[in-house]
Amino acid sequence: MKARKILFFIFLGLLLLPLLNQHLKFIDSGEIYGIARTPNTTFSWAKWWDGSYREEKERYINDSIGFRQDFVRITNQVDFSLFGKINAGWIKRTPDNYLYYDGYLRAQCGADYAGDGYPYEILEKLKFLQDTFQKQGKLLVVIYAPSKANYFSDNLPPLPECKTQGKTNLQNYIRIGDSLGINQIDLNSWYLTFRNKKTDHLIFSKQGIHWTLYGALFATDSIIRYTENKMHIRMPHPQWSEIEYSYTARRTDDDAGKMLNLLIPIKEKFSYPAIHYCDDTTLTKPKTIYIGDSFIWTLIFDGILNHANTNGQYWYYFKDVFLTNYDEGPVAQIKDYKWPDEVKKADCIYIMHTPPNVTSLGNGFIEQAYAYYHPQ
Amino acid sequence: MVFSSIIFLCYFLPIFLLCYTLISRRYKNSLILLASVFFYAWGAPKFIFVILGTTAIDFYIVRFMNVSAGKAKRIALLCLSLSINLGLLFYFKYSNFFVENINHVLSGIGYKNITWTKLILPIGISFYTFETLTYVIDVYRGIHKPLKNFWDYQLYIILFPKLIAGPIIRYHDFAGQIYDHIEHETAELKLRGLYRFFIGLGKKVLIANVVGAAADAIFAIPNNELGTATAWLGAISYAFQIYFDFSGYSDMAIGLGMMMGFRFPENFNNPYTATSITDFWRRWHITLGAWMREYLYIPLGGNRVKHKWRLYFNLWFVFLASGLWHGAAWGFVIWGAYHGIFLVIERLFLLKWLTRIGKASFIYSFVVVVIGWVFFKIEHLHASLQYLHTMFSWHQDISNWLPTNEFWSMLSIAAFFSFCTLSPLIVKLQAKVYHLDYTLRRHYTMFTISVLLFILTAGYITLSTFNPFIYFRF
Repeated sequence: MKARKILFFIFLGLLLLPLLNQHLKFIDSGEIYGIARTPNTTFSWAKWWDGSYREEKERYINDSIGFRQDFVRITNQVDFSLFGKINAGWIKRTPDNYLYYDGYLRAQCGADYAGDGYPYEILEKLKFLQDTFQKQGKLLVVIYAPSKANYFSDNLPPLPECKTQGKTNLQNYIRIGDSLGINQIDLNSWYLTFRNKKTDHLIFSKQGIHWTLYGALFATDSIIRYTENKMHIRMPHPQWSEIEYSYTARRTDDDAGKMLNLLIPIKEKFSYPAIHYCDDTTLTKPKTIYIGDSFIWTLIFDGILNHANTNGQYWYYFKDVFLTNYDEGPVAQIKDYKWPDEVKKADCIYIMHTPPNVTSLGNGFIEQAYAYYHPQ
Repeated sequence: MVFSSIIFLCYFLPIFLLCYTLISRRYKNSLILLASVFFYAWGAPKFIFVILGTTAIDFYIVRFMNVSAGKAKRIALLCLSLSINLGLLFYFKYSNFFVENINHVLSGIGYKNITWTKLILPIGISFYTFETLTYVIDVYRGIHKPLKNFWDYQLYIILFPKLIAGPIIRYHDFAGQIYDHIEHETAELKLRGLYRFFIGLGKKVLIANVVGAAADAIFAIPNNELGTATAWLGAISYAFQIYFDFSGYSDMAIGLGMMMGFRFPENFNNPYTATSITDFWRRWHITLGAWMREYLYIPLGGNRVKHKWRLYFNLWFVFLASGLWHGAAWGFVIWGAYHGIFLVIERLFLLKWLTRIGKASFIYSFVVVVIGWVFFKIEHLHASLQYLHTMFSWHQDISNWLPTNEFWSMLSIAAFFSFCTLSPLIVKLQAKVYHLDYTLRRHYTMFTISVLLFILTAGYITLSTFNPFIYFRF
């Protein structure tokens, strides 16, 4: 009987541990990636009466109970290892653990196709801006950043909406852009030619949504060459000779993998070139503005763009303004920023989007700049 | 509050068990009562007063009835109590349904609809109303004396393990336990209660929720896209969902009761191994069946009626009432009537044939039950018939629904645990796990399994924010 009493008290202790750890925090279980903290709620009789206190309190307790992170990781690992299941709704995987954001899969098969005529209005405005800036000696370029789903199109996870291949927004935007004479770089096609060359280095990692640093360096080189050609200047190019290999991901190379919140992360070998820059002062570093989605981050990390540009600015989704010291966070919100003045000072403006985001090309910049330079 | 929530698992349960273990014997019932009131008020703050108020009224009506000398007075007080309880049940549960149908008829004949504000159903009203009825009827019949202490009666009705979704415990089965449960509070029973609780939680979270998600997805597929095979898969998934969800809840309730020394009746006995529908109802929601038999079927005459047609009618009527008890929709009524018809047919001739087939007749029972669950799930006649039409005529599947590895695994596990007791060996094993005292070695094994179940179920629960039981709304 004594042994049974001891077992009962041990179990009772185990049941109490999460509650105790939540309040006393004697064991730190680390962070769960991708989940926002749920705020606590305050009691009021009115909230108790209408049931909202219960809902908010239960949600808070559910999300902040002690060892929650461990519970989540164990559950995710069980699901992943036994069933190949991912508990992050927007991530899909192949049997060999290539992870994709489902938006890229939909963009790849054309499930999000906006229609043949959809891009005309925005691209015509873009053409007007391109011509206007050209008269001012500025360069405006649209860069279609590469999609992992496009690069690995022969090895994609199934998606119910993607039973058949349809027209894609990317193809439509490029086609119309070509017909209008828009400056555009299609990194998707360029990367596919690169794929044919066998390499041990990753352009896209298994568990990243974004391109790797290695992949981004080739894109940077391509963007710089395009700019040099258009503006008849010579710019510094990033160079690398040594490559460091690591099983620990840096920056965004495992951003999707992190979202899985597994006990045992997916094993992968990453390549990190040691970048060095030319200090040739005869080379030109144009003042640049980059507008677009999160693929630009990889170009900003380690100062890659800064070494090729002067006073570089990054307008994230045309919403937050980042300068070269991006670690300090956004310096302003676009709505409070005198962005037309910055455009006047810039030499080059790049609008860069990945295929799922092309239908919101410029995130409002094109429309607002058009309104500024073409008042009715 | 639901058992499959972090607030219950990691706050309410351990704090309650700790306080219950440490508190003096004299105050244990008070603690259980306070915890039960908190448990119900947490989830239903508006209705706690309904349940407290009605139990207070019932207690004094029954006390008065017990001391009344004249039969007429006793009958009048009985009728008063029945009217209040059934009236409240009808008001909260069936008035929406009643008004909807009246308005449907009025619209049909061109009259203006009745204006009506839809009512919210108090959690567990069907369960505690039936328990209240057993109290008043058992006292009326003289089977058991009424409780002397008002708080003891509150404890019987509001006892949190069984308050929301049963088992339905008849008063005469529980009356003595109010006082003697403390004597049964051994470490053995407490541990077995913990194991039982986590087995139930595992059934609910690990099996029922997974197959239930698939069932929901399949039943949501538009009829023109749904294929025959997928329709069957959906119906079978729902059959497993409702079984593991409800039997899991009952396991949890029984386990919690055991931790306090209460011995609740079993509510399920491997129903999908039943060799007939008659047998099925001896194994499914056993406490509801017992209630219906004792308080409806027998008062209607039971088996001792003069004419066979009266017996068959009583049988069918009781199942019609069972269907209606489950919910205020035609689907439930039809489900009940459907089972009633099979019970009558089996009584007429079918049982003899099934006995000759032997254990293999569980296939017949399972198919009949699965078909019945379609009415239960969909709740509306026309849509149910459309779904059944898809099940019984060939349609190619053109939907986007794809079964996952997890679904197939859990479906297989559900099927295994549903049918494994066809083997006498497994029946013996089940008895060892559920009913017999454990050796220390078996305790170590079950302790380990229960800890693993706690970790896994807590993990799955934290991945969702709210996880209600299927029978919660009754």
